[in-house]
Amino acid sequence: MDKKQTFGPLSKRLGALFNAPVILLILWELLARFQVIDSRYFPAPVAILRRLAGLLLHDPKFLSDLSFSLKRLVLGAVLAVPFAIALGLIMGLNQRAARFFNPLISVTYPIPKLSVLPLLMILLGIGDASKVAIIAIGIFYLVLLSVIHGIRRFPEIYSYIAQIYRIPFFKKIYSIVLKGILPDILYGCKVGIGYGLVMVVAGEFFAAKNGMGFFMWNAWDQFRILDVYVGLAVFSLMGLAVFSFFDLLLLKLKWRGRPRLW
Amino acid sequence: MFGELAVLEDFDLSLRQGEFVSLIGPSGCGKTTLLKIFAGLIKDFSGELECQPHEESELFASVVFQDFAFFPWLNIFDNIKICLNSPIMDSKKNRLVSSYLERVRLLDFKDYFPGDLSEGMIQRANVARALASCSKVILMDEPFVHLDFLSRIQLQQLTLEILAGELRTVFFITHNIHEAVTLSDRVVLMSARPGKNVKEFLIDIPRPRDVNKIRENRRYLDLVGEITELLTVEVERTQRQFQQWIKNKHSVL
Repeated sequence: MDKKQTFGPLSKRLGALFNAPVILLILWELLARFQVIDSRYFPAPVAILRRLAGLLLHDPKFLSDLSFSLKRLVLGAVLAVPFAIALGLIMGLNQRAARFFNPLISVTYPIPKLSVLPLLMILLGIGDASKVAIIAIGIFYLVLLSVIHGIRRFPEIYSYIAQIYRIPFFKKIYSIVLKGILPDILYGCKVGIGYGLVMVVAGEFFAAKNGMGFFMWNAWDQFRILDVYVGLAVFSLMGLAVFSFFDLLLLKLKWRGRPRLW
Repeated sequence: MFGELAVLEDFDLSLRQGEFVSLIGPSGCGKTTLLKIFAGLIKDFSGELECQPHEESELFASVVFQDFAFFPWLNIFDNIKICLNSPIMDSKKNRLVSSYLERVRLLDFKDYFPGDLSEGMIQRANVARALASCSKVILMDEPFVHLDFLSRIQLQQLTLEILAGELRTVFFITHNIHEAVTLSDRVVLMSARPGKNVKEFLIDIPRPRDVNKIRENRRYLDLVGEITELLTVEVERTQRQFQQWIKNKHSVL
């Protein structure tokens, strides 16, 4: 018990660094440095980061690749999330709509999203449209399912309160339903946009002239192994950024995690 | 909703304005069904429900629920305010909410989320919401059933004090005979299913009443005894019904 108090905030923060990825990176660095593993195929993390920093500072093509990927991800999210929330609300609140759309969701959800890419490229061309579309599709389902699940979890008493106190429709949608499922929306966005990154790479592997996927594919093509790792690092950092962003927003919802009485 | 099963039969009750009427009866006799009909939550029933003429814009009946009936993402103030939907000025709504929160001694906690409050505080807020909605009738469905003994006594006293200055009609469902007699002007005893009103007791104990002192009152003790006796008969009938039901179920199997 006394030990706990001797750990100040600084040592606590240092302790937080003592986790799986950090230990793995240190191990990897050491193994590569001392040539236990072949550093041509497994370059040391520091070397990868140095290369990444160099590219960010001096290579305008790399920067534009990065911004193209980000732009596609953001565009895909902006297209998918509002639609997913709207359809989720309709399906969550209206039994008839749920019965109408549910089979469609059940049939289309299990299709691997990537397998739709060839069709999208035929329909929308090989340009940005098909790439953004595949990202949007990837994000859409996860947000939609999360929203529907959130509404289903509402206890019956919420609708009793709304009926008895005659809460008007728009107030009900905004102050009760949307605010109530905000954690589910954020969680859906977190998982969905994280998954959207998969679609970013996949879309940019084929018939692309820019983007981080293109950068990685090119690096593989020209056997620049270090750059393949740079691409991986960028995607992993982007994923980390997406997760951290939504986790932070979720933490801001102070009412969550409070003990539910009864 | 209940198929062919009649939950209520020959049930007849009228409430006078400003009256506090308790309904008492064995479990499963249809008390909550009756309350849901009064509250307009069940529209599919045979029978007649007549209310005093009132403006369409004003709320006729509000409900104090027994379960946790607040939206966890709104603070207590907003939770109550969202339930005020008659066409009045926003500032007047704020004043109403504040004044009733004050009367249930929760004004200091108006910015708290429901999850942060105790059961007793939540039920005080529940009462404040029903009062703030300005409904003529307040329906209470075993509102204090989840509270510990002392909080329950406190809430009963608070209810007595707050309602003393209001002309509200209260329909109160409870299993607790002491509670019913303490609070009510009239106690209605309901039979085993299908529920009908068996007997009415006029609680002629003068007001203002005190929850602690009333327990020494001669008339109080007589009434509690009388109601207990009759309720026991109904509860035993319910138990026999239930045992018969189990036997039938097994003979079918």
